[in-house]
Amino acid sequence: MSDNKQKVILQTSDDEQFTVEKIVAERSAMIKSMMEDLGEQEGQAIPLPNVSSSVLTKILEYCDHHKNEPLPAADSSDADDSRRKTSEIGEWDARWIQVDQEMLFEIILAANYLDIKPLLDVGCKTVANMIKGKTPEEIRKLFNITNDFTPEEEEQIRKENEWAEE
Amino acid sequence: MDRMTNDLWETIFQSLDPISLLRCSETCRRFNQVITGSSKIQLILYRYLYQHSTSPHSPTPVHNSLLSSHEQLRNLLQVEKNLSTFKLRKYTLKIGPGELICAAHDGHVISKLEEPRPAREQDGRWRFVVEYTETKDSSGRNAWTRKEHLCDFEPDPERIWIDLARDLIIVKEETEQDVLHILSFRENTKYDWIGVIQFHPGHVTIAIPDNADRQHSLNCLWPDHVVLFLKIPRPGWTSQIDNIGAPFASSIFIYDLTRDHILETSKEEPIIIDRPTYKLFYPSQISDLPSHISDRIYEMNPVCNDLLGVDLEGHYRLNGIIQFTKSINVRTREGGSNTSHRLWILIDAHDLIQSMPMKQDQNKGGSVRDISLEEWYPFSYMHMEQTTNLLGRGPAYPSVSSKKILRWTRKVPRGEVKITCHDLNERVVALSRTSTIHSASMGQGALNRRFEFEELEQGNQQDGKNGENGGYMEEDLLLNNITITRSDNTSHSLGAITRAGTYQPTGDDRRTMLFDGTKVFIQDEIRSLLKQDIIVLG
Repeated sequence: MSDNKQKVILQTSDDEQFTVEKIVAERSAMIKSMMEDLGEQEGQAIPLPNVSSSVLTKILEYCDHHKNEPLPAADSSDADDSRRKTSEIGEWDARWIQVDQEMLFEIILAANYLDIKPLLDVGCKTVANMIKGKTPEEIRKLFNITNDFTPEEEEQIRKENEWAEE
Repeated sequence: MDRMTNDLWETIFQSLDPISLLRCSETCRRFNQVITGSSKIQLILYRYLYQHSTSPHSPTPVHNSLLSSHEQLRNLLQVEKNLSTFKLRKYTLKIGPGELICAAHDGHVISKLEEPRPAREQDGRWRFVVEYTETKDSSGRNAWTRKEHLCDFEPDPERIWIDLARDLIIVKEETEQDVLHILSFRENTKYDWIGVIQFHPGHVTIAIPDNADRQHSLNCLWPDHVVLFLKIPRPGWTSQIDNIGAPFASSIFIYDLTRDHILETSKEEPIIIDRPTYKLFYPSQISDLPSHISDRIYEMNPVCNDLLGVDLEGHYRLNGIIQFTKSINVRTREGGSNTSHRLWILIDAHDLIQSMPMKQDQNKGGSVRDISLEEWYPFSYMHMEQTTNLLGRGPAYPSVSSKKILRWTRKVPRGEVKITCHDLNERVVALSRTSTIHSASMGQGALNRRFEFEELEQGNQQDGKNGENGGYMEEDLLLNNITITRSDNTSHSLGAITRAGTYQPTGDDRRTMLFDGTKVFIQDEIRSLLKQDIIVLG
């Protein structure tokens, strides 16, 4: 059996087990390092207490699609930054991430937890795109945010930000 | 959404444009705190502000009233310390009773001496604040402690700044009288000056180390003991530039701060200026710098790695420093013995451009400046370096002393080199130099050194592959790291400035610019350097 065909068992918060190819699971830097820690213990499930099965199903779809791409270098926050700035969301990713807002945040949280940098990126960019071009009131509506400024504060901040809107 | 952490929001916000960022900051306290509390996001905003602030004389407030003035100042200083990635033109910040205006100017935090106005003492001297230190008052709240100083000259806010970030005094439009004033000012402060004055058009900069640590840093950046005052010819000098030595030769003054002694060229003791040699300093990464300097920079800005970056449009951007450097050996004769100094002239493109005459741009309309590379040389920062110090401490790294940020774009039609230069403000800092590129001579034979190089990491390509190709660079190979191995088996990193998609180097061109970590060699220069055999590596 080749290395790539090795399987890993992932266990979600709702106790569902997923058997996935190692190469797919390794998209997650967190799972990858966990597997390295656990060694080659066949059949041992890796617990993912922060991820529900519905979210994991979705994320595995992503991982499977990208499984043959090179992993981003670990700990390269700079390269990370430049990637964040330069790369747009890919076509497949854009289609894949057309989900409701709740799911979108779940994906971001899971990507963060599982340490899948490109996915976190896609998620964050998607949220950013939702924000772009909206007024503060529209943004509040979008995320169901309560305006907790006092009117004075709000006026003050608006004034300070005027320079950019000229 | 409720589980989203502030860190995640910060990550999201980093993908936003400045306008959207500001609108987000208006939605609720939490977003406001994330946006105003993140130095990365503040950088985005400040950079935007910098680009859109049109008049240097109309400071735009960017402070946030939800933060205390204390926090604002601290944020400001924090952002300013990340100064290697951007520079601000100017903004002001009031920090409460006392109303000090803290202004950032050219990338540095400067307490502009407007408020409080410098007060005149009864003995005729001027008292002014030079430093604010963060302390806690008796009730445990944060407070600022002022340090005041006296000086004999009026610290005119229009002409003299204190640069809090670097502890420098900056004087515009220096006169000799200023220099003497500043020399006398030294006597009135506790500072143990190491004696550095930098002159370049419109500025004199004096470095005042505030503590042992900083002094160490300045020792590296600037030479001690000898200060050079080089009178820069004002606009109109251009006819003299053919011979670089000539315009300087008659106007060099050397102030020795250790003795308050002034040497002038017109005096009986002549200064001999050796034939100058030119070098282009172009450190790409902070790690290319000597460790005592890089440590200092990391300390100020831990996230700063590359001095050279590529921006959104794919242009080369200098996060750090770009300067042309020219060194002149100066020998002075004192009491029968020769003392040798090396004078580094660091060319600052911005100052140069500002001094150049305008001409009409026929393509785009409007005025442009068109100058040649050679014309940079006399416009410069300067260093003096005593050769006697070279062995003990290693050469000073003059490239570190300037905080000017420039962006380079190189467009290279075959057979020509053009260099355009912008500053972050996208002002017309367009330099161009056109010259014919001759065929490459950077191979094994030419340098008589062996090259090793690695492929640039890119997309799905394999990385880290060593290309041993007989010492020649392949046409389509992207290089980001070249190592020179010398005969004594010490190696030194060379980088080639190449990147696909943006700067498409031709085979010839790729070899026209190389840098070895500290110096960039333009091909023509390389050839002349090779002839003179003065490439110093390591």
